[in-house]
Amino acid sequence: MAHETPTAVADAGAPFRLPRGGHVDRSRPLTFRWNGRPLTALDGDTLAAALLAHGERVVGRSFKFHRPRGILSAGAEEPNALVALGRGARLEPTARATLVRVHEGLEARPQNCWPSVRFDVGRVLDFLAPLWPAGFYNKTFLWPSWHAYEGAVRRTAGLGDALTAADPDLYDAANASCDVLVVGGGPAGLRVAQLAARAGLAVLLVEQDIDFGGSLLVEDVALDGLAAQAWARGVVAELAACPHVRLMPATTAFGLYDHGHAGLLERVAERDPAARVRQRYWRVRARATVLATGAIEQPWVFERNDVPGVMLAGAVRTYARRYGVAAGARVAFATNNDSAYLAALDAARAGVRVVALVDSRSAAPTALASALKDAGIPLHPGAVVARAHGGMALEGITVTRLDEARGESFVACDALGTAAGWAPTVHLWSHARGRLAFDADRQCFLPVDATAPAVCAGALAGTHTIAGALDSAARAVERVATGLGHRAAAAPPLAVHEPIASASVDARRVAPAGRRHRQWIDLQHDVTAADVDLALREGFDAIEHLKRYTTTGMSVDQGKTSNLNALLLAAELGGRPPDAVGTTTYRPPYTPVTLGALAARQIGEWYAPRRFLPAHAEHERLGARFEEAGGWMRPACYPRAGERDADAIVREVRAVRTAAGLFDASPLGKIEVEGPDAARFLDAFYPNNVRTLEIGRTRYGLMLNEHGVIVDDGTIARLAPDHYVLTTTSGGAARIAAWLDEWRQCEWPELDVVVTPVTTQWATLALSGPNARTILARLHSDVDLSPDAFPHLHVRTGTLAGVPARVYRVSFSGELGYEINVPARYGAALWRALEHAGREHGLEPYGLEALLLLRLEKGFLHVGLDTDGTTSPADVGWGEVALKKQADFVGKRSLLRPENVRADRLQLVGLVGADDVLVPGAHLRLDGTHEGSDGWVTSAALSPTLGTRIALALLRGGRSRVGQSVAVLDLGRTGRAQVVTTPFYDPRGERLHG
Amino acid sequence: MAEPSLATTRLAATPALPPATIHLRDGSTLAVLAPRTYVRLQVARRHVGTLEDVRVRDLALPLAPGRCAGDDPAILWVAPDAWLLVAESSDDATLARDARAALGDRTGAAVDVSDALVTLELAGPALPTLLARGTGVDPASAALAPGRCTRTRFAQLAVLLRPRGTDRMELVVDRGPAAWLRDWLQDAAALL
Repeated sequence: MAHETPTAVADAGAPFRLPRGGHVDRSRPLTFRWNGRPLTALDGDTLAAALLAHGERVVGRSFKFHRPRGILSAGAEEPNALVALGRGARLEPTARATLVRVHEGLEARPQNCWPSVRFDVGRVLDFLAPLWPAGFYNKTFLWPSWHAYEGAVRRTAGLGDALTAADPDLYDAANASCDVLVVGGGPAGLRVAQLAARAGLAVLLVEQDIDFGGSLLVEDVALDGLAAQAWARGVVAELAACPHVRLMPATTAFGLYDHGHAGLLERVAERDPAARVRQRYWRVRARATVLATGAIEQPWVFERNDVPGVMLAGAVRTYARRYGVAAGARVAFATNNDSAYLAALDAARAGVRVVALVDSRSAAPTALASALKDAGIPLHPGAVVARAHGGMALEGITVTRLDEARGESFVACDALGTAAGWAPTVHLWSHARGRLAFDADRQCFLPVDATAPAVCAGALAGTHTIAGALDSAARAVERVATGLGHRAAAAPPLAVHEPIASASVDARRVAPAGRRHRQWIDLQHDVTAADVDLALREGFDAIEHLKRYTTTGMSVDQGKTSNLNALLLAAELGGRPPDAVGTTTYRPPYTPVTLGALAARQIGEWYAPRRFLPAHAEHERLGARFEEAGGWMRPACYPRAGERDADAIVREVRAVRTAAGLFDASPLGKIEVEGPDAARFLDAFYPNNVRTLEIGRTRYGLMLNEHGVIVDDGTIARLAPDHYVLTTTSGGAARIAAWLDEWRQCEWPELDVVVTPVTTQWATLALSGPNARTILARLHSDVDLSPDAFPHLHVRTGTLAGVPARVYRVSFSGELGYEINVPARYGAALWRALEHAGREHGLEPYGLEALLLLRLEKGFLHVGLDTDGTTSPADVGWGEVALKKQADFVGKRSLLRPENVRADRLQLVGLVGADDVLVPGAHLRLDGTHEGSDGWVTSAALSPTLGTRIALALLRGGRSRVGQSVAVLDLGRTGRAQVVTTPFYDPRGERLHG
Repeated sequence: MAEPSLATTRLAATPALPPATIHLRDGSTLAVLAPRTYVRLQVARRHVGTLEDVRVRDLALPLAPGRCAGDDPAILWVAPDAWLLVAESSDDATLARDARAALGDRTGAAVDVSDALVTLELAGPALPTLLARGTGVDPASAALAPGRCTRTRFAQLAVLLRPRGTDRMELVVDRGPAAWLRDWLQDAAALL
């Protein structure tokens, strides 16, 4: 049927634009593109309003069957009008046309269709619909295996196209605190904010729409003698003038969590196109929360209720009253309650031609029926819409009387507003675990206050009139103010002039006749009444099971217009009360949240804090290539001009082995432990003995957790009788300090000991190599560096180049080595001084990569690389030490568990051979085994010093396999390697003792 | 690079960040303050209840959570058994000694952590908005009233927030990520 143009249109470009009315700026026309075609809109239009104004019926295709779908609603609940906005990197898929405000140049197009929304090849799936009932995945794709179908199914699944380009927009995140968070800027929310603000409370008012007002933008009522919109504007102006009130339009409260924490998404650019930030994610902590989230109208279920043109009754009213758009040239309504009468009357007054109102109740409300008659709208009481006619657009409806004769009649119409009652928007309430109970009179679930996570107002609190909403708002503020120790100002009653209507809803919402598999319940996921029947027949009667079996409510709209219908149908079919069926679990977010907004600024440079070394500028001067390690920007190597990194690393290793190298080890964790019980305290952490450590000496130690697993390693130095300094791995510095403090505070509070982390107080430079002593001796110091006075594994405190210093004789390179600590402010100067002192002695700076090679040649452990979450001391050769220690220490008990003494544990060994295959991550297999893994390579390299490939590996029963050969497998390549003992280089340690 | 005589040269000090004032928007500023002396004072748990008479340079240790005492030096409560002592001078060499001495026979430690900490200062009308970018602590809460300080997570970092008057806030942060935090704040201010 060709569309008949309404009699009263003014905008030649948009045939369904009413000649007057609506809160759109008729002096500001805009141009946007729909599917490449330029169309006009008015400032204030949503995309859905503009499309309706142009008579665009088919705006999308359904998920499963690719059925043509039109606009259903005028809000966040929209299941059909999901469109793609923009292009390229700024493509936004699956945007709700009902929420998108049109701006000049907006580009929108339908999605989930090919080649076009009007002719979609995917529709063939609809003609095969009997093959795809609920649960077809579980039945159809079993043989030969799911994977045979997976590729094809995944290609056809999903809505819209995911972006592949990086999002060019900026997002931000912020925190906010307030006394009262008010969610919803309709009549109840505005009144709550107004009264709370007058009581002196800090208020944050959130409204998902760009305009405040909610139903006041639509309904034809008067408050205190003012038109509803004028009253709303006055309240907003009053609130805007309050310094303790923050108004947040175009912001969705998408989640409500424990302790008054809410997540908000502010669509900044929608409100302020000049803003640099597109969206902002707010984490709000409120002392009290008032939810005034309103209610969502529910649709009728009847045969072919998805034909474009079938809408919600309230949406027809909204398009007429707020946007000045007629939903059709001949509009009918179908209802089971009074609200559709008001919608029909309001729409008619706005200029919409209303041709019928079908009421399932035989006793129509007298006053409203009379008003309908006065407006010339034919009423069909005691009847329902049995089916819709039309393909790409509604052409008419079959109305069936509910009396015994079941007489049918045909009503020609191109739009139908259906009204099956209102479901309060309980989502946030339920996120915070608020309870719900079924209200039989209103046929919906309402919050039960017993375990209130928030205070409800307006439709959410069960009111259905403006006057009721305002009353509930006053009560909510009184309750909140009292709870917060404030006194709510007396709320002068407002005179509200509004039509009288009942909140009662007839239980009927599914047409008793018609083909069940064409009665659509979930329009987005193509779930039908027949699917619900089938699920129940197959035993999926628990609502959570029914949801998953049929997938109702599981698409991006989360069932805002389908969940209630599905569960009421399940209740009816199962002969159970709706309360017994219950609802599915409401989970955040209420509407989808852009991932970019959740990440906000925490991307790229701001993803994680970057730490800089005290001598960072010196490393930059020397051309260091930096890499992030444990949050620190550290020199990986110092390539010279034209030199490859790999060559630079080899050069650096050779310099350390043959002359000297200088390494910035400042991130090394440093923790001071002082007190009479310091030795006792530390002895409890290490599997080797700390109590016997002499003053001026250091000792290497492993640190275990309670399970006997190695979690860190480092040195313990004793500076004075009651004063120790530990070093930890760089990555473990903060973790180990916290770990020690936890034991000190919680387990052994009786110990007389204090722990102070001092990692960044000191710059630590490692001077290594045969010339190290000569170079260090060039700086004036009161520390005697001679080998006898200062042997390996000793520590000295004193001054160096005029500043306080702690000098350790330790080595991670296997060469003569010193770790020199000076207060961090002197770190850069010390680097320069040592560089200068070493110039004539072959000194070269070396980076992390060379260090890791040097220690690998020595077979030194790198905790976290050569160990994993199961490695015990015995696995790395410390078994005897640990077992010999008499005193208790953390993890000791666990070392004797059967699991920890198994002979086939993964144990650290050295490997040589196998050339290219011997790489980190390569798997090992013992002779005689042909599948699975017997371990893996943890560290490997071509040794610059030895000229052979060497590796450390965790090998099953490895410590008893020295001399054996194992197979090495890496990404399809194989080789063999010999199990050897470590160190690979200088096994007697003569060089580091030099 | 000119190092004249290694045998006599005293190493030169370089601050973690060069002191500077960065002008943000609307008259707000972000400053890197000149280095100070910071001393972390800690006592063993068993002495915590015995500290009423402890005086560091005539200043009693604030014993209530989040309280600050004095100005220069100032003593900031950071934990039930730990305080941060702050002197405006960058090399108040005796502060740690004085603090340790004040504990008398009690087991404890006064450790100079001046080199480990950097002080940033935010000032001006953008202060509350910028703070809200980094932390969930309400800028209007009692925890951030003048004379109080609070340790919290700010931009993923452990930061001590110390209000100085109504529109100035010091952020005491570890030296490692201090430059990153300074730049992070500047970037945040640009998006306000």
